[in-house]
Amino acid sequence: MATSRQVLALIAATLLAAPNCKPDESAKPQATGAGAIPEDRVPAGGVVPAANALSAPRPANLNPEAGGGLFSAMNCDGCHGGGAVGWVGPSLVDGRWRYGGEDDAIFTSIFYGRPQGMPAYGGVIGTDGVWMLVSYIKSQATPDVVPTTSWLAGGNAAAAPAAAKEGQQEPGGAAPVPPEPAPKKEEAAVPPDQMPAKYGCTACHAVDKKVVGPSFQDVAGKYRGKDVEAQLVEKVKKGGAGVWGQIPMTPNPQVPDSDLHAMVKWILSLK
Amino acid sequence: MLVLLVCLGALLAAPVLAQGTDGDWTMPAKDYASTRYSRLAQITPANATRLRPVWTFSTGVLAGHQGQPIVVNQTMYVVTPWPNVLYAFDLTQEGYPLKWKYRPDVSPNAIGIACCDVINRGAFYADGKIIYNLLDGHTVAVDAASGKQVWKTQIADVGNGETTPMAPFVVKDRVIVGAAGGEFGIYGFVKGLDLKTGKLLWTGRNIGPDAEMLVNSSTFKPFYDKGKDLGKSSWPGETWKIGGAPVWGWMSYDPELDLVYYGVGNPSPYNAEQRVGDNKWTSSVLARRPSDGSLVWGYQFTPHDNWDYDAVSTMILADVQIGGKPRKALVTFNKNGFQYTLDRATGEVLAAPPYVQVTWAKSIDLKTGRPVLDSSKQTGASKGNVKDVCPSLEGGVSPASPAAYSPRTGLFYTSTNNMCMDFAATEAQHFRGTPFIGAGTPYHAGPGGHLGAFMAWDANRGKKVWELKEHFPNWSGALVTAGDVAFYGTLDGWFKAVDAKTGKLLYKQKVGSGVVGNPISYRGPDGKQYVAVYAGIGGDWFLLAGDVRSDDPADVRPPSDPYKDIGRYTSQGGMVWIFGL
Repeated sequence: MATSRQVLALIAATLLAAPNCKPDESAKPQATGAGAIPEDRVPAGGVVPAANALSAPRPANLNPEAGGGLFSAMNCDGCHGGGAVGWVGPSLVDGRWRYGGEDDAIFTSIFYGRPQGMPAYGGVIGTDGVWMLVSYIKSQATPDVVPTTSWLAGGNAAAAPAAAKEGQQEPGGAAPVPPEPAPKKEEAAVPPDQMPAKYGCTACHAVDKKVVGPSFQDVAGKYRGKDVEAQLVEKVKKGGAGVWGQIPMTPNPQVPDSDLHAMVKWILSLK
Repeated sequence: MLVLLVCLGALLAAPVLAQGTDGDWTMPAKDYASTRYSRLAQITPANATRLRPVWTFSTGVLAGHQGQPIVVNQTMYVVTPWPNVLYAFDLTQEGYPLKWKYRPDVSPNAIGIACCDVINRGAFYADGKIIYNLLDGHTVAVDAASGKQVWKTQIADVGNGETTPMAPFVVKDRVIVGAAGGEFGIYGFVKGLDLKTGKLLWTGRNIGPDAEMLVNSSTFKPFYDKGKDLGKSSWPGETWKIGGAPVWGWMSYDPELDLVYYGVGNPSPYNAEQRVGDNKWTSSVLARRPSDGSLVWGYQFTPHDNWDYDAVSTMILADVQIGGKPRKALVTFNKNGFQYTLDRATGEVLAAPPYVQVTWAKSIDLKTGRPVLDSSKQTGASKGNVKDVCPSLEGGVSPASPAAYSPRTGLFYTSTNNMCMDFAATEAQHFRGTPFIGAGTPYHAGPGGHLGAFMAWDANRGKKVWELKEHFPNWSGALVTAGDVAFYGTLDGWFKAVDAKTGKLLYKQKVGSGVVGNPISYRGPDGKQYVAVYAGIGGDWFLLAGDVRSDDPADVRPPSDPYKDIGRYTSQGGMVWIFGL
């Protein structure tokens, strides 16, 4: 059975072959030498991203919810605000863009950073991770921001729009408290081997090779014969660093415990 | 009765540690005691109604204009927010034309790494030089006469999440500076540079092992805390290495004790469950020797801070009556809602009454120096959304709006915020150069529904003397003069003069943009008293106020509760204003 990552790669390759998928040249980073970013970019985590990484159109089947988890786990909300409504960094959900709102342009902004302090995240979350963030951002509804703000009687600012509640945050860039989640409709259960894609793990991990994080096979090999399920469940939930190097594992509070145990069992069973 | 008590306070108050000539304003807080008290007395409650604007200047920069001008040798020096232009105005000529302007090359990377707008808190004049920080981690000294750069020293690294909004502080031949970055998991510090050359002479960490904090166990004598390596042992594992402890506020100096005092900011991340322990010396005041940086005492206002209560508010050195006796005190209005009066020789807490609504703690235990906590207001990722924590993390007083003290009235004057917050912490991961926070904390108005005020406070009795309620949070610094007039500005763009004894409004003027800067007073070449202040909303209000910007068509935001009307009254824009009779 093909792993989810292989499926993604297949889809990507198919899409690449199609016309009309040429990356936007103008959105390309200024410096593309190996391991280089322009001087006016800050590398997130101190890890400089690979050159020429924009390799495919956005894979079609990414889960925006997992991208939302990554948006928070990678501290994007620390500057763009929870729900990406804007904070010290600009709003990403007002339908307006400094560097273009096309997939390629957003990918480039995240992967290579932008001047004025947008860090280059490509080095720590890789191509898949950046595409997941793009899928999250593009899935957000654009709120009713209109060119006119009116305080006249009956004007749109006379009563605060509902969206205003999301704008209140604290300095230093933390996210506002998200609204209580609507009761989720019962999702079809997925088998453990599809959970990594569902929960966004494939942004950093693959079954059979190192991506940003170690391959699942390497993880299984390291702990073969040891009773580490509970420990790894905790690690996936809370994140951490040091075992596989200094690039930290992001926390994944979005994964329900039952799925977490099933997924960890599956990972540890890999040969 | 009130007036009688106020006069009594004035009689009992001993002289303050005022520096410089009366007519100049050479350092951020006027003097080493940080009183922001001007001994000029031409402007009085009787004539202040005749105040009028005499001059304005657009700085050409839109970000938040915190800080204040300085005035030396009939020249006014103004530092803008990033890109940190330094202007020198000739006050002897009509229209105050520029003598020169200095435009440093400042990295734009600092824009996104500064947590809360690209503000600058001002310059310090010493030894013929104007000394200030560029936001991208450099300190510069510029010749006050010619505008030529004398030296430039890198003291912080933007790639680490460090930026430098504070004003340097100069004592003898040392320039003392620190870095912001409590939202980026920095390893906080202060540094001592040589005034003549800018050479780095010492670095004292605010957290970590004794050796790196410049602690000598024979001379470090905190009043309450004993033991070795407290800045390390009060953290789990090596979390102190990314524990924050920024320095972005103000400093004071007592020449008799030869101690520099400064506040240390919050621990990182906001989710306190990732850093179980006291987290010393975050949210603390530290007292150091300026010559070598050695630490003499420390006091932690908020142990295991889980509300982002940075302790970087101004530390005013004044004599306060405790039990009927004058004590050499350090007075500060902490973000956490308590007004602390400390013995400035030892760090002993002499009094700590609340000055706004406080819910996170019931009181401060004067025996132990520790807060008596309300267990229902402790935050952390496992605790979910903790409601109604007061004050909000903007502080009962924002450290960005320093208080003033008049030895004539014996009263302290300060802007206050009347806001509470809900605090929902989440797990956070540290990636160098990115935010390290882990909390969502929306605000709401405290009791009464108004969001801010300006008040006179009697530290002898731990009581408010008068208060002027403001519709919006109040974010300007305070100025008080020997004419018994106090000055402040509001977020909706009014500059106000009030009677220092009674709080009666004497004069107000709309100044073009919200005021988050600090008024000063000086004597002009014509011998007359003037008052100067910046307008230019920003700082946290760049983030919080919703749509107050008009310069970026790609960034449009809805109005923001609970201050959704701010955009109706003000927009961004940096202006220098001078008022006179």
